[in-house]
Amino acid sequence: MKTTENVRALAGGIARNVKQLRRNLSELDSQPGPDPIVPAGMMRAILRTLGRPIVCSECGRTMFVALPVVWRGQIWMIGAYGHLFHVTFASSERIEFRHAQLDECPAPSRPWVP
Amino acid sequence: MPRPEPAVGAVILTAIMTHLPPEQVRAQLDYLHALAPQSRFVVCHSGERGDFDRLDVPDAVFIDDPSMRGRDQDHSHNAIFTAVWERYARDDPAVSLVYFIEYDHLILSAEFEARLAALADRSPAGLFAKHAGPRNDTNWPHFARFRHDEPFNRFVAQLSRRDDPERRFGALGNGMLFRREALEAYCAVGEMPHAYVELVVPTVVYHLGFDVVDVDAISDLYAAVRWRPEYTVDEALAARAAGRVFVHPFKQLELLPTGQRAKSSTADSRG
Repeated sequence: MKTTENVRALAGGIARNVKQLRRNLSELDSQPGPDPIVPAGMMRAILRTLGRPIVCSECGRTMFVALPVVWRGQIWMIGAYGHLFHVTFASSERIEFRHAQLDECPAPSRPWVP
Repeated sequence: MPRPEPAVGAVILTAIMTHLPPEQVRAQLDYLHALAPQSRFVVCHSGERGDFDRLDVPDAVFIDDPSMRGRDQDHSHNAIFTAVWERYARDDPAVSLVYFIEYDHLILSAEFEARLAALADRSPAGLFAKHAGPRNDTNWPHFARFRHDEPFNRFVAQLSRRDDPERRFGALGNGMLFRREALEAYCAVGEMPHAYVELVVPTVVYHLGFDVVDVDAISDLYAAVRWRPEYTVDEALAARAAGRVFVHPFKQLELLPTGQRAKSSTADSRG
């Protein structure tokens, strides 16, 4: 019984901390900074635990793994640095990504792309 | 000096951009002349002036542009384009295509001019390049870097013949193939605000009214051309065995065969 309460308390604490972190991030200055601004080791750890595959909307291949974070009117794609891609709105609430380098994006019109 | 007959119907001039010591440049030229004796190569040397003075090859020009000795992302090729245009192409109307390659763009086949000419036949574009295309809706760092650059934006807006003067293009800086008319128009623009070659060249060519085409969209010619990582010798040999015409980047130029060995290695790859 006590274990269950402890787990609930822990989960509640994590949720509060995440909420606070998001609030803090949203208050930070959003001036564009140099890319990438997260150290490489930390980046790998973040992406390994929290990253999501970003799939090309045209060919369906995974382009890279990233962690999208909403930050003061911007979406920070942690892990996107070094990967070139197009971004467009697919609907009023969905953004889609696709390869910008055609040699990575197979299509019937480009049978030479592996 | 009499010029050899062109290898294909279109006369192509290949300009090699290099900063290497003269011995290495001469060795590369030996390889290229043995591989493709009817092709015409021009050396654009942007390294040390002393190295250029010791180069002693007939078709070579020194590029006195400090940007070429700085960071990669500050390079401009405008001085190279202008020098090649004014010294080798402007007064020779037979030159219909001008091909700009970096020293580490390895030509593997004597057929390269025929393949470039065939590429140019597939589109009326003024510029063919790797990864060429619009960048406005991308995360390309050079687009983001110059997006709010007022002198550059003003320059493009004044120059543009397009309905969308804010459109920006990007392309790999190596392996740009210009149609004569596009290179002439580009060089006629004259002074430009300094901007990175991979942004300014395709953007200006587009706004001058020419199409800019991604080689990968219409051909497999650049299947073994990439930004990085470097090709190893084994990978380059595998590319040649697979029928590739170009490999980039390949920096182990000291391993290139010369003379008869270059010819026979080409024959092997055909056979």
